[in-house]
Amino acid sequence: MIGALKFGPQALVEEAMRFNQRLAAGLSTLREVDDVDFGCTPKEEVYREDKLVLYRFKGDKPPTAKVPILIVYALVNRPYMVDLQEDRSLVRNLLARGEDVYLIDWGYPDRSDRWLTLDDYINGYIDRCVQAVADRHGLDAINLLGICQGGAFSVCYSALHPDKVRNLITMVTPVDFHTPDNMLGHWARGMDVDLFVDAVGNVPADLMNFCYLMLKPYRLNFQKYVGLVDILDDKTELENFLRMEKWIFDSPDLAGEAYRQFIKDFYQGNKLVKGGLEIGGRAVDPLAISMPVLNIYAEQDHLVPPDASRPLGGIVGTDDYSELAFRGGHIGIYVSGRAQREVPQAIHDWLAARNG
Amino acid sequence: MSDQGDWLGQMAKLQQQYWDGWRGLAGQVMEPARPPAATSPWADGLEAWRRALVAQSGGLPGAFPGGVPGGFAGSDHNALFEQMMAHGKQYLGLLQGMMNAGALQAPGGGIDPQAFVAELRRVHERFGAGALTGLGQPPWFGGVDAGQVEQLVRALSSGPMQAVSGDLGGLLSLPAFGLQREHVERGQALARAWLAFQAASARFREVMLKATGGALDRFERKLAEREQPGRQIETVRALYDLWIDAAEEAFAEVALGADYRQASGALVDAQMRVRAGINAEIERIGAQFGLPGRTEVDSMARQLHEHRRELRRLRSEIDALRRAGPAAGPAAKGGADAGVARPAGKPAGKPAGEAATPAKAAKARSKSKAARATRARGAETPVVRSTARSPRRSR
Repeated sequence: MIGALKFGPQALVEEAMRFNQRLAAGLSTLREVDDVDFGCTPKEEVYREDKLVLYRFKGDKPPTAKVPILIVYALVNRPYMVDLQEDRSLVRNLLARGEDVYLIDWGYPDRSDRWLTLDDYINGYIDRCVQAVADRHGLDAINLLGICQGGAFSVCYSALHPDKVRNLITMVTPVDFHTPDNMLGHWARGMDVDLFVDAVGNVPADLMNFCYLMLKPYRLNFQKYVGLVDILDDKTELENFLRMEKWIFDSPDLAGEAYRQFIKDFYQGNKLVKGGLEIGGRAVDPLAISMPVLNIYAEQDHLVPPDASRPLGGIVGTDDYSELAFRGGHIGIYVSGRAQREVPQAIHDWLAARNG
Repeated sequence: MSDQGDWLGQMAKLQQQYWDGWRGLAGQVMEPARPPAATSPWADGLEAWRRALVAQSGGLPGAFPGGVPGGFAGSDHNALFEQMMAHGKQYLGLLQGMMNAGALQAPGGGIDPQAFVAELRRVHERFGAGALTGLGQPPWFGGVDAGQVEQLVRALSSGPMQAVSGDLGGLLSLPAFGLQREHVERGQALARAWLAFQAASARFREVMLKATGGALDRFERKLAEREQPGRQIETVRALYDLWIDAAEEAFAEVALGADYRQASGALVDAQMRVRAGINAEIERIGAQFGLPGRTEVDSMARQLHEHRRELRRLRSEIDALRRAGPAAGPAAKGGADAGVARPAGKPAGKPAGEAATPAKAAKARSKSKAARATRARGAETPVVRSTARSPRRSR
């Protein structure tokens, strides 16, 4: 052989044949695979408002932590990513360590929710959920764990209501939306968001998913499905793949007004870092975040690059700021084997050191 | 079910014969270096197999609505199988590209990487970015494609869009008059929006073409790097992955540039103008027949939303008063598991910004930013890095 390729025509045909046969054989595996389920941990509904439901998860043993954690997920995907399946569950692993875990499920907004604003989400829904959890435990303040966009919301909430947040944990949370490697931030600055929201009302999930796929178009549109052929003979792996695929495309539409404000103030104005952010007519001053903060980011995150997340340390007012760099991506931080071992333990240890 | 299993077995046997033929041909190629025709029979073979499968099951071509022999248990698996077939054909087409005349002229009957890249370039020039990358444009929603939208625009804009070719721009700028003046003007505006969308689409395709062209340049460079002993590519899949790496890098470079931002933003804006125009026309037609439109429904939803907000604000105030008042209920000493609503005497949440007292803010500002946490980048096991701790609080 010469040049860069160490294989010849015959090997090429052999490989093509194997690929073809695997694809054909995959038919049998697909016939065995049922509809995938998700959400492995038992939970109870403790509060409901509009389409929002607040859940409390139930572990195998009673929680030992006296201050519960409320998970605030992003609006753009479904929150069951944190409890995807038995061996891929942030929630399950936190419960196993004695934490008491609550989660806000935002539901699927429809056209009647088109006028929901960031004020409604942050000073309304989140605040009432925090209050509901705090009341159940007889506390003034609880622990907040914000994820992705939910992390940005949690930062705002903690700045606006610092006395209600005992500890703030952010995961893969964008703070600086104008870093050079932030594709979404770069693209968002090229669009007329007023025209967009006025035309569509709520933002269709299909369009959001298209944007996410375009962040890594070749890997996410092509390579992923070619690679799928490698696991077609493994029912369990195929089910894991299908479960993830389900989560990726099971996306709610986004409430138009909240989207308009989020794009303008965060993606275009970068006001969390530059200042001037207002939610519901109130100034959001990150310096008011005086409680301990743990910021967890993923080093290979293509959606929220580390440089977009780390600036949180520079804008909050607390003297107790910590960071955890996870070796993985935006999704891997929930579902990878490494994540199961490292992230829940780190959260638990960090909380234990602050709550006694 | 057993019949279907036998049938699948027969299909597998036929496929084996098909590939054996190709293997034999590849063996011949290695000696006299006489390559097969530059077509895509591998991908075609896969498609023929798929069609045979559908025909056998009585299903319709293009879908397996319960038509795959034995069926799929999961409801979404038909779509997944179709998708796998589509990507499988694409992958096999790529492999076939290496088997064409140009790629099989290396000394000793090996594959010539340069010829392979040249083949990709040929495909690139012939079909453009769409054929090479399969990447589309922002979707029209609910499964509607651009062609269907164009039909809708034609129908709604009536006069002006009938002559879609030629000097349409000039026609659309003619002044309207008479009884139909307003209608004509709206139709012209919608047609102009559609033309602007087409122009924005063309511009976006140009930028995408730049990205895919860059991908081929990078791919060539990466192949050259792999010529060194010990770094050679040993499988077709590894070659494919290298191509993906090159394509992704090239795209990222373009996507983070000003041209892409401008082109993609303009495309989205143009699409929204068309959509808004269609919305308005449909709403206008609906109004002629007494049907409520989006504007009317949105207006009611907005009013309802304001009422909901006001109601919540009042409830919150009442709640706060109840908490503060002597008539408040018993404290929630049992905690969450006792199902108690809330303890007495708990103050309502402070208004935003109240806690950010000047003293606290000054304290926060005065702290040394240099003492900030450092991240544990590259560490084998992540380490939480912290600044000075606050006094511990009871948990």
